Amino acid sequence: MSRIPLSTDLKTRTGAPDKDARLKNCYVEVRGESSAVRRRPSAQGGVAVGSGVAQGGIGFNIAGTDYFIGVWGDTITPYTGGGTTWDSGTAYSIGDHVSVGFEDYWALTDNTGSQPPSSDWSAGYVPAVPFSGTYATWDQSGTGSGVQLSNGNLTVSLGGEFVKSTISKITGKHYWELHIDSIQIDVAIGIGARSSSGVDPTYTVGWTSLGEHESWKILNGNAQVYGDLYGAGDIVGVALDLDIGTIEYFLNGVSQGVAYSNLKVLAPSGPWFAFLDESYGAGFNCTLTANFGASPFAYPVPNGYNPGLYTP
Amino acid sequence: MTVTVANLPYSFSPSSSSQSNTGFMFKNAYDAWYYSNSTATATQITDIDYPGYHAYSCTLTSAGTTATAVVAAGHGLSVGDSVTIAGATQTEYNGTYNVATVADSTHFTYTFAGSATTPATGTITATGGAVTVPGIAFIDGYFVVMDTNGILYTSGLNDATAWNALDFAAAQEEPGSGKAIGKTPGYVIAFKEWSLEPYYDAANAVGLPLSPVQNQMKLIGCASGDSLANLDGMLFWVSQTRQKGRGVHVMFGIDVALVSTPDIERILNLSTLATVYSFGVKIAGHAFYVLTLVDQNITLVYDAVTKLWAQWSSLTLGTPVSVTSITLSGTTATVTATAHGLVDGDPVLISGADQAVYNGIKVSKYIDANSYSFETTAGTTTPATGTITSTPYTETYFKYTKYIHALGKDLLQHESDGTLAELVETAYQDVGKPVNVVIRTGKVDGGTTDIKRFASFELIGNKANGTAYVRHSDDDYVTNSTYRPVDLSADRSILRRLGAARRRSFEIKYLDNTALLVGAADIEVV
Repeated sequence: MSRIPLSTDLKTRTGAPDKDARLKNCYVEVRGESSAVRRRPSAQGGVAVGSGVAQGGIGFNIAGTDYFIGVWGDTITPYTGGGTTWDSGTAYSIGDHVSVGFEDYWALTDNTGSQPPSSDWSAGYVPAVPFSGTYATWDQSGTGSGVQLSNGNLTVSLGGEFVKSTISKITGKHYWELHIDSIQIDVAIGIGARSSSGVDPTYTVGWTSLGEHESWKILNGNAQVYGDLYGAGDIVGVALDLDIGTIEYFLNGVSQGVAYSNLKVLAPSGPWFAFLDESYGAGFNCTLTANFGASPFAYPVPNGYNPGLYTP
Repeated sequence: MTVTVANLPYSFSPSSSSQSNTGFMFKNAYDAWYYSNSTATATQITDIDYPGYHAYSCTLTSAGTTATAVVAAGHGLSVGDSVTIAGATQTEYNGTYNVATVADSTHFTYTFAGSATTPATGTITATGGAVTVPGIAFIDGYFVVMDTNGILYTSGLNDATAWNALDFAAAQEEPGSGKAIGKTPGYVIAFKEWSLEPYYDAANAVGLPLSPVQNQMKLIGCASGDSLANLDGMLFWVSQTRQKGRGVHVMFGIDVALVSTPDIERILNLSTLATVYSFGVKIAGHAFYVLTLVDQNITLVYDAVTKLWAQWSSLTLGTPVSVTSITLSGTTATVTATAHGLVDGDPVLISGADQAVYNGIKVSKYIDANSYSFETTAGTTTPATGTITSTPYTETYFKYTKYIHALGKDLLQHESDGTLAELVETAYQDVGKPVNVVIRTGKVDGGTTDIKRFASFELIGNKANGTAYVRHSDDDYVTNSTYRPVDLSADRSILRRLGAARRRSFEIKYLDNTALLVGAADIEVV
């Protein structure tokens, strides 16, 4: 029987890490004439304070309060600690992560409004449940011949016509995004209701902007000034709350305010589709790419909204 | 606040009065700011004598390929400085150039393609100046920075926003470009390409208040300004000399010592040093200098207490693969997943099984390209149900690349996702991701190359609620046996019947979310 110590310095004959003796993610404790190997300290409490490349920071006391003042990308952000809180009413799903006071928690269940620590949350890692449903795409059926779909039926060239999504909703809160690839004429970005094959034009809600006129919100063809101008390259977020009957738009992550709040009155049983309408723009063309949730969103999903338009 | 130049490393330095912190200066290579505690505002340092970039309104004329800029309000440019011309209607003038000549404080020239109408029209700006190296030193009320030409500049006394045109001096005892500036107790250290020069506060009445420490210039240079890190008053950096390539040196006061080994220097000499991260942290009674070489995909860690080098890494989730089936036999779960992408012993994340014991972070035992197994609890429903995925991990350099002691904690910034985390002894995962602990021994031969039968291998250490995985190599680390699990909670954490070899190295892998302290291995050789 022979006893070999496990403590060792890093060795390499070639510089490559796959050969020769070494310790990875541990260090040596020396106790008298013996030694032992202990795993390294680890990082806990991943808090999303800033975004972008880490640039460093400084600990500083300002007017009696301790701060971490860090730079991410090109933005400097002061932080006083505490971590992330989970707003009351916000939905979370199994595996969602939150940090409170640099303690990690992962959701054990799908629920809303329970702040960690609670029985809904685990201090140990919980894997997310893989998505098993189906995300919406644009639906070729019921559209005119001018509509051209590509990119897995997520990119649509409208050709002076309209298109609706493959999935509709009657209840719930749903968020999706549209990237404006090109725009030649006003296109109404919004929702439409009540037809299983095509959309009944009696119930359409949209937001339109050409980038050189005013922007309007449109309900059944009646327009009112609303929101900022948008154009090619912009991302429009649509937040549809069918529980209370509102639709709110976001332009590049900035809320434009609730556009309409009478959807339950207008079409109480829906169902509501994602909808694009360029039907008064014959001879012109607009191209948009939808993200119904299959890809990461460009901007944060509003609190409490499902991240996409999908079934079940 | 938003600053103007992205994706550059920043340096920070607080100032202080006798009573409290009064503010701090921070900078990147081109711009600098001062945060005042009394006004709670961050102000960009625009003093023309600060050695960074400045924007000047100018007029332009040309003769042939020489353009002459006139800056009525004066400029701080020097020959060789980079300058970007913009706004000229005649676009031939626009672009980024090096200053060719400086006639006086209002005139400079640069060489361009020529053949442009003269004088130029439009609202023209020239943006440029000196480029500063990483680091800010604060000494006796002065902020000290250095540019890439090795010239040191000091701010006004207790005023980072005021810089005087005369308050500079060149660290020029040895030629070479400036690389970084740092501070040891009582000294400001100018790190250059092939040398370093310590300075002290000489209270010079005119010009730079600092003077070089006589006869203390060292012919040890700095290979990467971003490798400079302070640890307990010591400065560590990736060094270079004209004769011996790269190493890692440490400086305390004005004393210098080499801490790298030939093995570490082999790795350093392979690196381009294009992207380097470093920090120093004292934790768990140890003082670590953490050095990341991105192009080599490695983080090297020097323990200043034990004077040993180790490696740190991070695991990142890869792309999920759909699982066709999971079946259980005894305590062994066998996973079928086409092109799972794992090699023996890789950690893998199983998600989506209706039976919770199948989910989570597992250690894979390779069967073939489309199947592997892992150990779990016996008696669970088989086959598993649900929409199951298998997600491998990718191992990289340690992804937490910035360290700051703040809020009473050891804080780390994640390189790319921007999250802020606390480095603690009592955490055993990096925010839910396993830590790949590996202990690889040297070769054991018992003093003879005769063939030996290895009857047993027993890990000696603290009991842990986890499983280690052990494999061995008999051919100088070229190939390895498959991993065998060892229960660290058992009375004896022992493997038996290990075959025969002339020389053998062992590798222990541990991925569980529990503490690990092992001292030695008892090997029975017969």
